[in-house]
Amino acid sequence: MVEYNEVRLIEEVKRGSLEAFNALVLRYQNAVYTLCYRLTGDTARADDAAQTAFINAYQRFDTFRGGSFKAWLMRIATNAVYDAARYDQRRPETALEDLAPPDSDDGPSLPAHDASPEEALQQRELAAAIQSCINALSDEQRLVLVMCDVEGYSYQDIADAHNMHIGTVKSRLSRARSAMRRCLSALGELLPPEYRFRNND
Amino acid sequence: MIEQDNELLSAYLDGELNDTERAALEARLEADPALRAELEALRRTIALVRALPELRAPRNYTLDPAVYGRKPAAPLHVIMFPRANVRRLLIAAASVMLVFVAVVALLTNNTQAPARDEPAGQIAAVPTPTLRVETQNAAPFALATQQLPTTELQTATLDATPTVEVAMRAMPESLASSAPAMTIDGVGGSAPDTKGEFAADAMFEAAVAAPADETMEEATPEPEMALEMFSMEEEGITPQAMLPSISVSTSQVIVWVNVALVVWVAVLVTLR
Repeated sequence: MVEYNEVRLIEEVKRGSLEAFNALVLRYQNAVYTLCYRLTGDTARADDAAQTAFINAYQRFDTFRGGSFKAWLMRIATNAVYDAARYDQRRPETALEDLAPPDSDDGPSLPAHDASPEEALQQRELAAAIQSCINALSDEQRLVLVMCDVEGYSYQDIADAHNMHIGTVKSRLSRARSAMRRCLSALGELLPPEYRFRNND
Repeated sequence: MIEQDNELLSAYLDGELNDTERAALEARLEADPALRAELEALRRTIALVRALPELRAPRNYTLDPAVYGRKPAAPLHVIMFPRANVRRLLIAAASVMLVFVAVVALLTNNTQAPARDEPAGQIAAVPTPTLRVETQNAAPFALATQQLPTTELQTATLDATPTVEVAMRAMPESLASSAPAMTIDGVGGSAPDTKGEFAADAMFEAAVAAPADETMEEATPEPEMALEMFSMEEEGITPQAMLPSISVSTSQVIVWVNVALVVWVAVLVTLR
């Protein structure tokens, strides 16, 4: 197996190597697609946004100034999602199928260790239910929840990446989590026992 | 559960409270079972979201070499000075150099010109080569028609040189209408102080020579300034002006300023 050397690949991309860029794509495409799916809740839109994100990343590679390549890529992916959403909103001739609620299929996840087919199905249903709760959030709340709780960024990173005050991140995240809690508590038996909310929760 | 408590609990779980806030909240949690239950419910919520799996992309997003091919190599100036702020700094330095050379050249030149203590008739200045050409061509016509309307005089001047053409067209009407004296100055002798001339000449050359987009943004305000200077100098000029005198040092000054200008434009064009 060829050793993955991100720094070297980045240098090669800067010198014009598409091959090196494609190696980075293969490395991060699951992460980018996952982020796009978490933000859109829709496989087709996530697919489009992920492809757009990689094209944009390649065309604007000279704007990468070092630091975390993944963080830079994820910021481009987030922008691709929201640019597409803005474009859809501006389109007056929105087709009827575009107005349908996003699909609840959580898509194929990477295989969990030692999961039986039944467990895998259960996990997939749970993930789809959680995603439907994420979909119900406002755009602002969904963004901070996904960036913090799915992607694991700090408040400061989110504030910097999306031009927000850190207090805004804090309050939006708190409201998003409260909404998620209300939504998830309705799932009842679908939740694994250790995650179930008691009635007085 | 008030919203403020939700925010505190949420930030507490993320380790985003400062020491004081954390100590205060922990004291409250110790004493309040309901608050502890809230904290636990919030912790489970976050754990569920964090447990969401990474998905497999439905396809590869690798870019097709046939479509995206070889990425065009960065321009030479970007390779030499990869940081945009360094390029801006060099442009600024070149601009400062241009102004410096122009000021030094003018100061040097002024030491050879008569003093300007008495504005009336004391402004001795030397026309630029451009103005000289204009003078030669326009002289008989202009001398014969000191009171000509501006437009006719402009026509005469426009024939002289392209640089002046640009200058005259760009000139405000108010200035242009008082222009006969100015244009004829080169002939009649009340040549405007060279400062305005040089600046206007240099800046217009820059504006014309510079590439369109960003460079024009920087170049355009300067001709306005130059015209202002030009206009101010005009006000001090009286009909009893002196004949122009051209010295060797003036030619050198012109060469210096033009060389500095060429360097400045070259830097602009190269580093943009």
